[in-house]
Amino acid sequence: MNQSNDLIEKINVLSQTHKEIAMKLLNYIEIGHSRSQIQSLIRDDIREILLEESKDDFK
Amino acid sequence: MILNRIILNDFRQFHGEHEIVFSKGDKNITVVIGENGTGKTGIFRSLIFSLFGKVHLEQDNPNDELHIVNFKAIEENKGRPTKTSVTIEFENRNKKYSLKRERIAIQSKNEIKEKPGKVELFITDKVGNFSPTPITDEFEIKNLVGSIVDENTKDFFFFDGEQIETLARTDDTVKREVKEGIVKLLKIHEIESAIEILSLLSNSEKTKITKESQNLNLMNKKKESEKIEKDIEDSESIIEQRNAEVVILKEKIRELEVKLNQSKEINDLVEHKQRIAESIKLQQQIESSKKDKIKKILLENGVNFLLSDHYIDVDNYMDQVAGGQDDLVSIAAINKSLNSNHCVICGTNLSENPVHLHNVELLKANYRSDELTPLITLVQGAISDFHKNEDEYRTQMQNAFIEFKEKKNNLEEERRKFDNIQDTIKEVAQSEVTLADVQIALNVKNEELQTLLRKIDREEEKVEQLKKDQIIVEKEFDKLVSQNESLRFDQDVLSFINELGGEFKSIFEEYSNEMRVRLSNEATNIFKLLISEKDRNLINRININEKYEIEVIGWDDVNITPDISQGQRQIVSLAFITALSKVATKTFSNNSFPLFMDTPFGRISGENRDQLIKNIPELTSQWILLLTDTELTLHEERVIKSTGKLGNSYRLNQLDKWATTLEKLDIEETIATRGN
Repeated sequence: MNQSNDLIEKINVLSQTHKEIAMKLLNYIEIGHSRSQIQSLIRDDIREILLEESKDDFK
Repeated sequence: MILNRIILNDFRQFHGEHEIVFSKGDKNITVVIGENGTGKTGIFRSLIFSLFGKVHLEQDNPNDELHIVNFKAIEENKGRPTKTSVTIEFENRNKKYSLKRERIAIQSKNEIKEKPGKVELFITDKVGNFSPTPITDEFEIKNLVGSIVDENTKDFFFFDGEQIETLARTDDTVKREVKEGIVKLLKIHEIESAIEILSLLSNSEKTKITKESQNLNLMNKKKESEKIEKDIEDSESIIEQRNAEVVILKEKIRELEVKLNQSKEINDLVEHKQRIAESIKLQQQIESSKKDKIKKILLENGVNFLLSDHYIDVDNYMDQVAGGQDDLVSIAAINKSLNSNHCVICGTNLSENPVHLHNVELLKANYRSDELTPLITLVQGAISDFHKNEDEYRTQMQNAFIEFKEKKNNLEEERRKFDNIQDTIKEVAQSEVTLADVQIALNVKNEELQTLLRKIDREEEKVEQLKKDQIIVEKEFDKLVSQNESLRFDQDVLSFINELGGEFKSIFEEYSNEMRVRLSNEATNIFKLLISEKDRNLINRININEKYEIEVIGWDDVNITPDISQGQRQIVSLAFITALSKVATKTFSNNSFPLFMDTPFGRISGENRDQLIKNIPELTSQWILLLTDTELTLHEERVIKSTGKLGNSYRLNQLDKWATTLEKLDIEETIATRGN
């Protein structure tokens, strides 16, 4: 991703799940998807990551 | 990105094929000299067209239909489609690129329509491998070029000398431009987009949860939250509007203060006038005493001065007259000689010289008085006295004249000052209302400002309270959702979105502040390199404040932006632009880009101009200078050449309006045509 190291550093201190979604979100923006497309994509990503998390908790 | 070469074919003013080889490495200055309208800006335009397929630059009206196919070529083609092409060859991260873009013009009746043509990109890797077939997919090329140089930032590498000084003004448009510049170049807008998208997502998730729950309380909380959000928006819009009013009011206050200072100036001038009047009075007295001194000297010695040339003749004549008198030697002298036994005429000792004594005694015995003798003695005595002191009298007279002349000149000078100050007072007073009126108006405006600031404070307090309320409502909303087991997961999703939104907001705040400080420091360093020593002593630093305004701060920590000259303003802008590209290059290591400057020296004074020429090549990877012949005189040429960084130089020769040719100049020869 064509982001500055300073910004990446700041995102790196977030929790793993937040970091993952933040990077995905910035990537979607950089690719140039429309706002509604990004909303839909990122909603799915969040749901997926939270489902995974809840499965892990259940285990 | 390093630019190697550009080839223009029937592009804008350039009829036929022309190429520019750009200087790089140790010799990174390329100079293109040309009159206005010969195609200097066209060179930058061709680069932007080739890279991004764009015809318009930031400075153009986007609604204007710009033609880039050369009109002469269109005319020669007599109605057939005419093609222009620009090929650029550049390097980035050990790869070489050759990008050729075409555009086609079709003439029908009196109308010329242009449409995009083919685009081809060849890439050669670091070991020299290249694909024989070019990339022709527009989308692929756009992404590839975009990863090398961001299209949004292209205009920050182009310094238009005619327009750039506006950057350091303080109006809202400029503020927006500066903010946009920072946001675009440092890619902060992507964080802004992330915040906005997460906010939209949060809202749609809430709506979804509310619908699914069918819970009346939840619906009410949602409505309540929406209302608070609307109130916050309204209040923020009021604050923005009032802040704009504050700017206008502050400007008015500044104008009144200037007027007031003018009134104060009159008072100061009047006081000064009085001081000069007193000084004139004193000088007059001194002048008068000097005049009296001259009068006295003239009275005493004036006649002698006038007749001194004749005194020798008079003295000789008196000697002759005296020679014919019986009492050639006075009785007093005879008596004195006999009494002292010494001849007062020749100094002989009479007691030792009886013959001489006898002669003196004979003189006394035969003495007869003559009536002319006292007069002769008086005249000769007076002449002798004058001659004895003549030099002293003359020196006295000369000194008295010098002193008088000096005092007279002083007096005239003071009178001149007095007249000038009188004229200035008249001039200032003509455009002046009374001091009291200005002071009243100023007080009113200051009160208005205070009222406005209080209103803004109140509105900001309101927003703060609304935000607190919103947090409470959000919590209540969350609580209601969590009571419904089936909505638990949706609630987790919503919380996740909100938390991430908050984190992005903090990152944005922190990152943009850091960048602002970095940019301020970099702009200050560059400014100090570019500005002359004299101006360096006036200006302490450049600051990009929280509102993204460029501020010029003096040594007493006062914002002196409104008071700097146009030339200084241009250097401030230039320092900002260069700092922006430098910070961006540091921040995104692949973002270096040649710095183009079109007629940059127009308003910049000689010394500052020399500083720019000496320092810019050190601040950028490639410096492409587009200059008019009045900007590049023999002096500038000498300074450019003294840097040892001038690589290539070209002259634009205009054969006719639509036929400019590019002539490569020998830099060993003189390239300037004017000045000394």
